[in-house]
Amino acid sequence: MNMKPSDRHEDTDEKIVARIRQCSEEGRLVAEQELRESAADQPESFEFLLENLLERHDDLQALTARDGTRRYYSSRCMSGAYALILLHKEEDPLQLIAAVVRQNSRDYPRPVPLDIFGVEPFGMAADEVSDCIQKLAADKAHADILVIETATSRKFLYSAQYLEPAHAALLAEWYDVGQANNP
Amino acid sequence: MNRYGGWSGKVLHIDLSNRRIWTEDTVERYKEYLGGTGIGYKVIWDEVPTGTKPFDPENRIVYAVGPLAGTGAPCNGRTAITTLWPTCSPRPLVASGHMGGQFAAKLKYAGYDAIVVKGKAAYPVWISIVDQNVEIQDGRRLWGKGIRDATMAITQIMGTDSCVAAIGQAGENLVPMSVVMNSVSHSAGGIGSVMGSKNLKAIGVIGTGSVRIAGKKDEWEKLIKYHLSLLGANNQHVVPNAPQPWAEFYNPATRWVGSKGRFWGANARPVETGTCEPQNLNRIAYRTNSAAFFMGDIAWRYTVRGNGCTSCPVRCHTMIKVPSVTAKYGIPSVGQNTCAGLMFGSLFFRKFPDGPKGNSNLEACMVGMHLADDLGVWCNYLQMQRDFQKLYYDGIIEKKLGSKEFNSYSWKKYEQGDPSFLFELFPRIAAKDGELGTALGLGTGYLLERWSIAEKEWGQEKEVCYWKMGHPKHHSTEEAGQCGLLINLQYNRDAQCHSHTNFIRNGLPLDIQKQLASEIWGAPEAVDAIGAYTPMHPSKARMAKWSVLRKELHDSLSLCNWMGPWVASPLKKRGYRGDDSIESMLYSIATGDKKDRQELDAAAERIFLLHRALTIRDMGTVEMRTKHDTVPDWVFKDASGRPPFTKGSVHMDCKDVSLAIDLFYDQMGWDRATGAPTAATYRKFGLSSIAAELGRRNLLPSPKAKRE
Repeated sequence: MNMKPSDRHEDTDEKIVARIRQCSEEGRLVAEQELRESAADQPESFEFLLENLLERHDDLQALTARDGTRRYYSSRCMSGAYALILLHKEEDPLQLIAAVVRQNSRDYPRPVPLDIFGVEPFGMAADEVSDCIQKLAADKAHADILVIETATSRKFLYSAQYLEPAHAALLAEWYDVGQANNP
Repeated sequence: MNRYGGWSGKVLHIDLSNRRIWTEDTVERYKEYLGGTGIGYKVIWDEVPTGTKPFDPENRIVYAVGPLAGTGAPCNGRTAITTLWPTCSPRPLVASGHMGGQFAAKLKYAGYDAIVVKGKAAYPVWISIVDQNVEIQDGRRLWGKGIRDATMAITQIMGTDSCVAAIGQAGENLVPMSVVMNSVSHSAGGIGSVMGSKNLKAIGVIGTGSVRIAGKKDEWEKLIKYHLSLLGANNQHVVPNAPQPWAEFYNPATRWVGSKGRFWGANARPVETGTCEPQNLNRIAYRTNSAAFFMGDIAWRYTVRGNGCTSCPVRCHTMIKVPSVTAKYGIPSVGQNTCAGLMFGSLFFRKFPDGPKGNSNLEACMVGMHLADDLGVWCNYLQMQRDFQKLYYDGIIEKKLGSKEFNSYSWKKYEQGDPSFLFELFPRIAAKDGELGTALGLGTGYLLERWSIAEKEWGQEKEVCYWKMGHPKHHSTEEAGQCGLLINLQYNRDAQCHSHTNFIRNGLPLDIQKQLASEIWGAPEAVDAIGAYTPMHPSKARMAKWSVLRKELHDSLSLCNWMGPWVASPLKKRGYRGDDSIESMLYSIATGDKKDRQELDAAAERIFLLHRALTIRDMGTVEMRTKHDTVPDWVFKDASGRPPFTKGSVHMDCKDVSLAIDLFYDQMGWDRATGAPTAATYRKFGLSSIAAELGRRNLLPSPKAKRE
């Protein structure tokens, strides 16, 4: 069956929107290139098409990576915070850890247990985390990121930019031991 | 005919001394006190003379539920049990214990809002309730059995539709540190020995009726769904503990532990807890795993499922199956409990050979649950465990025990963290066997007295957590600053209030908590970051008052104050707001007695005032500020010598605490000098007769004593 050009556009639109939502449901961002494959018949207007889709669908969101490329997700099933973690993880795990630690120290405030980076969506291996911590410690740009250890030898990270050392130590102890002993 | 919904309509009275059984109308006598602790305090005020001791036949045990028990309202499974408290020192005063499980609903379906037991049976008995057929049964063949065997025996008689609340050997032997328990793991501490003193082994209930909802069915169902939509995980933690695709926030400290990749590993077919999106109301039960929260990730592989109370989707009593403990310790491989009950055994130990959250800890939890929940031993919110550690490591146990008794314990096993040590300790507590077993069973206050240790000394160390009158702190200054302190002053046992801590630990960032605090308590200063406390502010006193009143309200309606209140939610679209009116909406539709939030809070304040009046009457003094509302020394101490309000410290400032107490008393309409409610305050809440009685006893504050 022959389709009219307008029908073809609508079909492409639907495919792209569905793809973004599907990827978000699966817990991942979708890159521009991946979407471009869904619209192979109109590559010349692809950027325009995506902008148009973002305007028409409130749930569709874009993130710009450091190299200028974009990633897309649907806020129907993925939060902005989760999407940012995925983007940072893809770009640079060290920066991811630094960003998460600073944000936690600033907003909650709280130190972050090292083991959180082993669970999804961080999903980093213990030696990878350990490697990042060593690099952070050696980098002046991240001099504010510090490690503390609780009485049970559990390690936490915090940013001295937002949390005083004594406060970070108290909170780490509280989260690791105090809270469970005061149920 | 009861024209209201909610209430079943009858209070059941049983005098065990003369085997008399009768009922009275709930609404006629108790409507203004709602139910639960409200009925409990009222009965104690009306019927128990000052000077009565917990084990006297004249003492009452009031098992009371509220108008929401047995309805479809979420988290309505609580039974409040009020009596003169056997571990309250130096003199017993009124207090209540609270058990979840299925007992509350069964009692309502049988047609009762409360059971009031007095007297003492001539020999051990149990009470059988099958709707209107109430009988006192011979319990002699049950005496000496543990809770599990006793429950099993009664269930075999009554049938599997019954719910049995029973005591173990500890209660029979009048060990004050004892519980009553129903539905396998749902206990109320402190009550066991009072039942034992009445020769009452158990109460079994079958109810074939229902609870009438006064409002329209569709309105009620809509409200229930709305309430469910506001629920978080255990303790109303509204933020998951690891990033989830749907969540804007995560907080590794919360009890919302369900997640993709985390399985109930011991289920017949492992079940993935999954992402548990808030809008999926059929997945609420997958959010919580108390075992994983308290025992660490090792618990996932042993988790069978969550269990819990009537109509509660949270399921905080996690069922775990550890096959190895059967071969190693000869105990059942399956256990279930939550919070302190889960950790009952493990927290006796200072360390384990494989670390704090390894296999030894898990086994100690299993052994502890098995022993405590069968013998019916109470932990006093884990104070028994903290006391034991301090007594041992300070060398006090060795000093107080003769060498023969001291050497009869395997202290090397204890120091090494060997769970089998618990088999030496628990049965001796339940049997009052030897000096150590007897002393531990008394509770902290009377133990200190027996061993000539000053109470003040026990209040020196923050880690010991001792507060006053034989009981520990319960969510105090360490996490809630002045608000936590004020709440911990109020009760005659540990405060058991979760209104404030469930908000503080909900997992939301501080700026959102402060926004919500502004809306609820009038100013963002009501809440501080943990360990970054700021000087007293009137909103902190408002938060403390709100917290206590919500606790009393929940305890009187049969809602669970461990799960509520629901003033925060996981819902981004609501700005993470919950609803401060959920209780009044539920109450109004269920009963048909329309009350808005303020009106229902006034009922809670009446109930709490009655508690205060009872305390004043039975202490025989109006000087509550100096003789009751006391603060242990550790609250004001900091090991590093930093000034109060230094970030990273949790100690308080004396003058600031004094101001906090002033502002709280102002909020309550209590006299600043004495901490006693004024006559005008009693009258304002319809308690003129209480004021008159206290006036006759010279237990009202003198107008001259009031200072501005």
